[in-house]
Formats: sequence, C-alpha cells, structure tokens
Amino acid sequence: MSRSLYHSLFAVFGLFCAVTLSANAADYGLTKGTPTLKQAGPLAFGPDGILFVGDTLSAAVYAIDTGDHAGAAGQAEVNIAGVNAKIADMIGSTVDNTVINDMVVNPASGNIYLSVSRGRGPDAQPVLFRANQKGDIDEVSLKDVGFAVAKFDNAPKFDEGARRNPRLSAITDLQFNSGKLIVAGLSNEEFASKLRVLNFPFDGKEADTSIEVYHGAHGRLETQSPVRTFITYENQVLAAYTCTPLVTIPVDDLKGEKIMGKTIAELGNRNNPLDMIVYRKGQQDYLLMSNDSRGVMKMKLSKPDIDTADAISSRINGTAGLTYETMEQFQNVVQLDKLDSDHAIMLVANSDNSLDLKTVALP
Amino acid sequence: MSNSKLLRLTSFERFATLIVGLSCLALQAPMACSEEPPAAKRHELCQGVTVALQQEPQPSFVITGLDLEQATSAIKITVVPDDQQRREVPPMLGRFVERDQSVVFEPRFPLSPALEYRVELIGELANQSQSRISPVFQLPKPAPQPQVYVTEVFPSSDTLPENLLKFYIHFSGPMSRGEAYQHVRLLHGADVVDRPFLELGEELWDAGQTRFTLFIHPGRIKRGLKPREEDGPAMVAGEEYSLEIDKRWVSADGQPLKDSYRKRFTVVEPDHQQLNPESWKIETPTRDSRLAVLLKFDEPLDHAMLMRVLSVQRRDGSSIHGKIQVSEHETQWSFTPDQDWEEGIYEIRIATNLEDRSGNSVARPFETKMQERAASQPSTHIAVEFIVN
Repeated sequence: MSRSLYHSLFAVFGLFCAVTLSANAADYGLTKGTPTLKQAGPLAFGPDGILFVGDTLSAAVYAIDTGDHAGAAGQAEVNIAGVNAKIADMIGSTVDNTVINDMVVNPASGNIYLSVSRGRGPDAQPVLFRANQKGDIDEVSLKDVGFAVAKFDNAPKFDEGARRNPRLSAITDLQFNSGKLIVAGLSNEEFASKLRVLNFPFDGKEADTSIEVYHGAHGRLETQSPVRTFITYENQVLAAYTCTPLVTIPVDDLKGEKIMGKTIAELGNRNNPLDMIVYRKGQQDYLLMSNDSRGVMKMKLSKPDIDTADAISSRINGTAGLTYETMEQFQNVVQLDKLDSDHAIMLVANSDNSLDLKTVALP
Repeated sequence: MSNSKLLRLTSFERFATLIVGLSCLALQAPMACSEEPPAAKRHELCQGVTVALQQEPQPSFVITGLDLEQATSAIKITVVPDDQQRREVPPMLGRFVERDQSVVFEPRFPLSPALEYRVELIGELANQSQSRISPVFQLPKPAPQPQVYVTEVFPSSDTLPENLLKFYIHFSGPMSRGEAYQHVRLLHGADVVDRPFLELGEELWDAGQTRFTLFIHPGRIKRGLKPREEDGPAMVAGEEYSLEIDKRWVSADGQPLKDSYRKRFTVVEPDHQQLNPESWKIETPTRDSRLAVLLKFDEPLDHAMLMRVLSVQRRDGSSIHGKIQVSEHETQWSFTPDQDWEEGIYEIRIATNLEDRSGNSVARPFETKMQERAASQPSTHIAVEFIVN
C-alpha cells in the first residue's frame, strides 16, 4: 500500500471540503462518490456551496457539493494575471490547449470557480479549478464528494442499429432560482431552442419550454432562436438571444408548454451577448452584460419597468426598448460574475491569448 | 563503444553508486540507493539524487535518493512553457507515492509527447547542493497520423436557398475545437461575406468531433430583425457563392488539414414552406426480399435529421433493424432491413421536427405569422404506412 502526499499545498482545502459534505448530501439528495464528467461546461451555484456543472457530452447537469460554504464572502479583491497560463502549467499543458469554459463566484464563500477543458480534441479532459480570495488557484477534487446528476431525456428515441447518434444539445447557460435549475441549450441539428427546468433536489422531472419571441416587424413570430445567456431577476428570466433582443419570461410560466417571451430591448446588430449579472447600487437595480463586439452594457432594471414595458412590436431604428449605456472602461470581458455587493469579477481576454481575472467596482 | 570502455564506465558507475549511498546517508534516506535502476535513462539532480521518466504503465517520474517526504518538499516538476519569457511556473498537479522502494511522481494528467517537462530541486536541498542540474524530459513522439480532410459538406446540392440555415461539415478524423470560425468563410465571388455565421463559443460538434454544424446567422435570415435589416441577407438569390474551408484548421492531433475545401453553389429563392408529407412518394419492397423501402421528397431535407428521426416499425410498434441511406442530394431516404421483409403492414415513423434546409419542419414553417399560429401543440410524430406483400 502506498502512502501519498499531494504535490499542491492547497489540497488541504480539498480534504477539508470532503469532510463537510455530509450535511448537504442529506439535504439535497446527494450521494457520495466520484462523478465522471465528460465535460465541464457552464456553471452555476445553488444553495450551500452546491455547484451545478453542465456536461454537454453526457447530456447532463451535475450537482456537486463543494463543501465550500464557510468563507467570508466578498472581503478581498482577486486579481490573477494570466490565469489560463497558470492553469495550463498546473495541468501540464499549453495555454493553447487550456480552455476556460465558464467562471462563477460561490456566493457562500466568495471563491471563484472555473470550468476548464484540458485539450481541444474529443478526448479533452474536464477539470474544475477554484481561486480563493488570496489569489491561490487549485483543482477542485471530485473524489468522494456528494453529488447528484440529472440526465436529459434526449437519448435517441429510434432504433438506430449500431450507428452512433451524432446529435448533441450544447448546454449554453445555467441558472438556479428558488429551488429550480434553468438550463438553456442548442442542438447541433434542429434549430429549436428550449429552456429546461429541473427541480433541485433532482427528482427526475423536467419541463422543457419552447419560448416564442415576437420580433416586431411584419407581425411574425420566431421560436427557433437559441438563448445565448440569461439570468433571473424578480422571478423573471432575462434572456439575451444570439440575434440580440433582450427578452423576459416569467419563471413560473416555464412549465413545459410553449410560451411567449416579451422583447424589452434590442441591443444592436453585429453583436453576441456573452454573460450577464444583476446587481443593486443604492436603491437601483442594474443589469451588466458583456458582449463580443459591443463591450459591456449597463441597463437600469426595475420590476415595474419590466412588467409595464411594451413588447417591441413595431419597426425599430437603432437600439430600442429599455436603454443601456456602454461601459467603456471594460473591454474584452468574456466572463462576468458578481463577487460581492460592490464588486464584480471579470475574465478579460488580452491580445496575446492570455486571460486575466480582475476585480472591478460595480459601475 | 568498445567492451573495455563499457567496463570502465560500469566501474565508474559502481563508484558513483557508492558516493550516492554516502550522500543518501547524509540525507537520512537510506532507501533506493542500492536498488537496480529501472531501464529508463536516469539523470542526476544532485549528488545522490536521480530522476528518470518511466513510460510504463503510465508515464511518471521515478526518483531515487530521497524518501517520500523529502521528495515532496524538494522536487518540483513543471511543464516547460511554450512562452519562455514567462514568470515562475507553478508545479504540475500530481502526487508522490512510494513504489518498489522508489518515490514516484504520478502526474494528475497524462504527459503529452508534444511537451517538455523539467524536474528541479527546490528548497533546502537545492540550497545545500553544490552542483545541481534540472533535466528536461520529453516522451517520444508517436508516428504522425494521416492528415484529416473534409469528406463531405451537406447540403450536397450546388443550388441552395437564400434562407439556408446551416451546413454540416464532415471530416475524416477528429478535429480540434475552438478555432472553427477562423477557418470558414463565405465568399461572394472574390468578396468575403461579412459575419454570415452564428459564432458560438461552444462550437457545435458531434461527440467525436468529426462533424461540425455551421449555422448561418439567424439574424441574417429572419425577416424583421436588425442584422438583416441593416446588413441584408447573408446570401442573395441569383448570385454565386462558395463556402471555403481553410486547411490551416487543425485536427485533434494538431496537424493542419490535408487540403482546403471549397463548395461552390448558386443561391435560389428562399424557402418559407412548411414540409408537406402528402407530396412525398414511397416505393415499397416485396416480401421475402431485402429490398429497400424508399421515400422520395419534393425537396432536399436536412441530412443529419434524415439519418436520425425516421425509423421503420411494424404496426404493433416493434422496431425493424436495418440501414438508412440518404441520397439524391438529400431528396431520397431509404431503409434496407437486416432481415427479409415479411408480409404485413409497416410504417415509417417520422418526427415532426424533421427540417428542410431552411429550418421549416413538418410541424411548422421556420417563421410563422402570428395569426397563423396553431392553437394546439402539433403531434411529435407522423407515420407513413406501407404494405409488404
């Protein structure tokens, strides 16, 4: 029998995590074991340090007890230059073959979680990393953790003989809201877009809702548009679509039948929304959204404004609906999350392919 | 090398082993010094401490001259970064274990033949050592694999509708994820069409990464949306276009494609019509044969979905096993059974999300006028019945 010592100093943290999983396991129907992710894609935090990980290749979402719910959230600024290079070094790979898929903050501890692919081929390995408030990075061990998995019901329904089914539904975003996990996805075949709603603790039930979005001109509908990124606010889903409208959908309406979203803003052409957060400053709520070509947008939000906003239904010149301002101080922001009540954490891309984690004051 | 020289060297190595043994005593780590070294080439980190890259069963580093605790605190193993100017490199993840009276560093992830790895002494032992080296290791490079090439692009026809929704690009081997949109271009004559594709960070591959789904940006297709209003459709009826796939796109093993690929096509009027199964024709087989049942469509349909969402079953719902083929530029679907047909009534079961090349499905057109919206949910499947006799 071999004795072993971990190479990394931070593994102690992982051991601490393993010890504390039992309470959550009981509360959330988790079982102890080692989840075998095929991919670590979009991330979201649920209650008590439960991390949801979207795994497109497994057609599943994993709920993993990180045991990380005892920190002092939001007391430090985290700034890590070249975070992708550091991770590449740790996993024994190159920057080019290290892909950061998503970044979220654990609201229970203020620690930052990153989902990573080691490699770009079909055998790329999934890894989760955590950056603590000192700026130390370590792998999140999945060995003997409390976890649960929700598999999506998209296995091939027909007899296909020995042929492999090439259809995959890419999970594009996850959000947890009041006991429900909302999952956005896009198929690599048909162009249908659905929001899935799963109860958590997972109970095997899934409601798939097709969202129709009224596109204004010519009295037309369109359903087949993938949600690029979304967030929940005042029990509404705020969804940004690839063709740039911002749409609201009541969470309570996501029951499995087709429903109508309301377009409350058009955010401009030649643009892809990437990530968004909601925060409060003073007495005002704001939406902050990063985009691939239109920078970071800030928009005032209020429940009455959303409730009473007219759905955009006529010819639009320029941007329309609720207004936004562009935050010129933020450039090339590829991931975004709220670090604490006053700060956001951003993953910022540099021209040399390096990525920096930066703490910024919420604007 | 002569035998005598070899003998002399061997004698020297014996002498060195003695020194190593003395050094190990000084370090209070009596293990490993008198053991036969494994076949892998050993490098001396400092007097009495060696390391070798062992390839079997999994690549790992075998350290002699230190015990587990010493190795854990005194050995740092790093990848040699591609950017040599970089700051201090953190250690690779992994663990030190005792095995066969040596200390072995097992990397958390498999070592790559494409990379170099450095082993160095750190801490107190490094400070104490008069002369030390930090050897660099690399696994032998495997024989290069044949270069990947584009095998097919669907839709296969050389006339495509103005509101074409997507291309499927098939490759002969697994491709690399992350650079797809840098290597595909839509050309209108010699001009590059500006931002015609829906660029998704996820990149829509199949699990084996041999098929890539390339959507035309829906904002350039749908009427009444800003991208189309401002930039126009990505393609215009009556004009000639080509889809160009650059050979600099790399496969999963890091090699560029064997050749670039170009699909030339003429764009025709947009297709806004819902699929009409009543206009399809069926050719039925005879019993005691393994002839195919054929469905012939009045327009090309989505290749991937034709391969996936149609199946054949008996009237009682039991499945028939067989082989699906799609031909005639995706206007013909055939099913050849594994066993002879028996006399009876069968049906081809078709999911109503089956689409044409413009995203119109059996269930609905791609764009639906609000007043024409169906009040009830369409059924998920239709069945085309046929009789074998």
